[in-house]
Amino acid sequence: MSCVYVVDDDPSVLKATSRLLRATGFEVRAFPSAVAYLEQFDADAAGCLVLDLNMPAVNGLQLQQALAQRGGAPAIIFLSGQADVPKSVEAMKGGAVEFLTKPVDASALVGAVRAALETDRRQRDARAGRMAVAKRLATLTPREEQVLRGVVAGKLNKQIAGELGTAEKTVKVHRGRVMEKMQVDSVAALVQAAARVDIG
Amino acid sequence: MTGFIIPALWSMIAGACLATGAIHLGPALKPPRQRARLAFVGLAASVAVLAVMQPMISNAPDVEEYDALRRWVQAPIFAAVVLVVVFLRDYLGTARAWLANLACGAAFASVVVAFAVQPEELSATRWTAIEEITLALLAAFVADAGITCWRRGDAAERRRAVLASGSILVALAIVALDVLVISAGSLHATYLYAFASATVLGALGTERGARWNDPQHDRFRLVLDAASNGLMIVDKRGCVGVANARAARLFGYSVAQLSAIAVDDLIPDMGLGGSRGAALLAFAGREVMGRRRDGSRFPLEVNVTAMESSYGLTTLLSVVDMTERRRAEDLLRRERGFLRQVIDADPNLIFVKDREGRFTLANKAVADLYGTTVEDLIGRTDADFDANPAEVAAFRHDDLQVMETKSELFVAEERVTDAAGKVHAVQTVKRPLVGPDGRADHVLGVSTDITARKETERQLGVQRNEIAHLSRAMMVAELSGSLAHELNQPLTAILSNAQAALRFLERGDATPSDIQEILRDIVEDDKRAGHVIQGMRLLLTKGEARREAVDVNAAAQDVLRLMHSDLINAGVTVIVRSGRDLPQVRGDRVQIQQVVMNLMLNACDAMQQMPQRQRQLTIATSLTADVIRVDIIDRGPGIAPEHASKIFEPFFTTKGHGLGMGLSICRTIVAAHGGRLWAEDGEGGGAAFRFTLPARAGEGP
Repeated sequence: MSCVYVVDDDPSVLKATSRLLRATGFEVRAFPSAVAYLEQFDADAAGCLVLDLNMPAVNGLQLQQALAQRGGAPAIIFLSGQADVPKSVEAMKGGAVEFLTKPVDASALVGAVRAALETDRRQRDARAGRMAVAKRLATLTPREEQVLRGVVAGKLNKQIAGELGTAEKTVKVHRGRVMEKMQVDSVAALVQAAARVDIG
Repeated sequence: MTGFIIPALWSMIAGACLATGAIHLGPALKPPRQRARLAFVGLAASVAVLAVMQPMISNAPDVEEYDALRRWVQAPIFAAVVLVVVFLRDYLGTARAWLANLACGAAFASVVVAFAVQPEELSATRWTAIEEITLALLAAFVADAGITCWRRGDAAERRRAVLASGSILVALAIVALDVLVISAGSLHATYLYAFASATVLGALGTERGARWNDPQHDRFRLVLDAASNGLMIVDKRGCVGVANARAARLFGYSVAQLSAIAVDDLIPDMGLGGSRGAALLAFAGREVMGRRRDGSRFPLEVNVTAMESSYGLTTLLSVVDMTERRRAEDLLRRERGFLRQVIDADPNLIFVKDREGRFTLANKAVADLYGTTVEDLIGRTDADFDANPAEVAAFRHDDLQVMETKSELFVAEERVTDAAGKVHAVQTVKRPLVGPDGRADHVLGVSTDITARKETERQLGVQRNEIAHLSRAMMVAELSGSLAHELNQPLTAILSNAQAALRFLERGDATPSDIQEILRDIVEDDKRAGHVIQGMRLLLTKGEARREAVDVNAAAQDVLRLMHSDLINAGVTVIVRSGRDLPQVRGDRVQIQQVVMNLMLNACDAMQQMPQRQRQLTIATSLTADVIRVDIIDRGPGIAPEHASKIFEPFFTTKGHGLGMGLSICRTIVAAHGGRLWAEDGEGGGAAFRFTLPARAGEGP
């Protein structure tokens, strides 16, 4: 179950925002500061982050950067007291899903949260798929990987054999093993999987 | 028979005359010198000479010697005439000068004639007439002097007048008889001259000796002359009889001259025109103008004493020259006038009041204030002029207190209502005036009208407040982003809470207590928004500085709240070290907040270029000996030494924005609260701004 994380240094805003999201049916976890959130951060946990931009000590943008460095950051919706253009640009560049100005209307916030959760889900799915391909890729022998790259590059078995200095037959065997290990049943699927791990 | 008797007689007369003269010569020369007596001695001598010369003329052996002697005998005659005049003048003191001069002149003419005219013509009538004239003049002189003395004097004087004038007149009568006899040709009787003279001398010589020996008379004269006042005895006709030396000197006469002068000539003011000495009494103690012999006038004080004596009413005038006293009085008057001018020229109110509150002295400023004159003020009280009884009561209270305690009183401000009903603010110093008996029966007051000064101060205060307000408005503008944010936060919370409630209700799973909790939060946030607005409005409020009890820590907290977002935006961490149990101060809460806010904004600006972890601002409050101190310390670059002396000057700024009025206004505000604002180097390398405010623990708001 994905969760909505709310971080705001203002207790009453934090409480109200959390309450609104809960009323809409989200699971909400509230944190009074960026540091508090970072302490319990779990890269694997799905969800989105509703983050106040202006906070003492560590502000919203700084938290965004910190999360980016760690990886596995949830989709972020920024809340700001004022429409600060340079900061919103910076936030969006850092991958924020939305930049909302307080006071924020419930529908706008809920819409943004839904979109963020969707984004997060997609991001996580993509990441999960990437991880599976990578895992399978790791099972390939070096020769099989070479064959894989050749196949993904659209080369014929004969060409690959020529480049690798082996027999076409051998390439064929390798190719079959690659398909098996990568759990694909077509060259198209193989190319797609390879693309996920930036091969090809 | 006469052939030998008469020569012997002549010798006896001469001898007697010389003896008489010798007897009087000794006393006459002894001090005090008696001119009359000396004249008498001279007279005796000249008669002696005459006595010697008469028989020589009669027995002249030839014509030449006869003529020579006839010439020379004129010398002793002349001497005798002059000496008679001098003698009478001094002895009786009543000589009439012009008669005396005429008689002496005639006698001198006889001498001249005797030597100038041929001896054979000498017996001509026109020449002998001179002798007769001389005789007549001398007789007139003697008679006049005698009569004057008689009429003026007392019994003793009258005796002297009779004796002196009488005997001389008898002698002159004898001489006149002699002349008549000679002109009849019946007798060659020049002898009679000397006989007559000798008779007089004999009669006077004894009498006079006794008179001169009268010590009473001398003492009287001495006392008279020693008196410090001019003394004159005036007879009932208004003539001066006796006068002392001082009176004579005063009027520019000799003592002898002064006698027989009418008082009206000396003191024309008296206007008596003669006789009634009693009328002089009306001038007792009066100051009149005297007239000197040379006609000049001088001020004179006259005291009159009536003396009833056996021969009628006389008056003793005691006169004092007032010239010096007048001059002194004039000087005094001028000095008084000068002092009067000085105090009247003083714009301050100067006054002296007695125990009953009556003005005994006041200057023009007081009179002007009360719309009256200085003369009118004297003897009257404040109540007669000041329409406000409360003010009058306050004056009275203070006046009595000063006189009771005999100590100075300073009244920093009191009110007095002028004649036009306008109320003046005055500052007054009152001091007791202690008399010789040690009591303070008068109070001296000096009041300065401070109405205009107060008005100026008030206007300055208004201006100061306006500048302070302007400065606050600029700070609010500077903080507007932050303030908007502070307002935005509760609004955000309210909106979210309200919408949450709506959704709970839509879903239908909300309990009333959930809704209640939400509504409570909404109320709280609304209040919070209200506070922000109130704080902002206060900062923007324009008006007079107030005097209320202010909790410095609470004021600082309010500032921190208003600046919350700004501090976050600036990345500044605030460390608050509030002193515990601080007493309240008296002053304007908003202005004190303004100072704190201004100093904090400056601190934030100063740290803008610093790395974020160094942007630390400390605000501390503490209490030392009834003085509350507030420190605002940053960790910026500190104050450049070349700026240290200028930072509190108006229009000095190191920032790109702002007027440079902030610190100048802060200092003015702190000073107006009785405190001090200054800058130092901070502990952390930045700047420390500190200000003090006097704690007013005991005073209510």
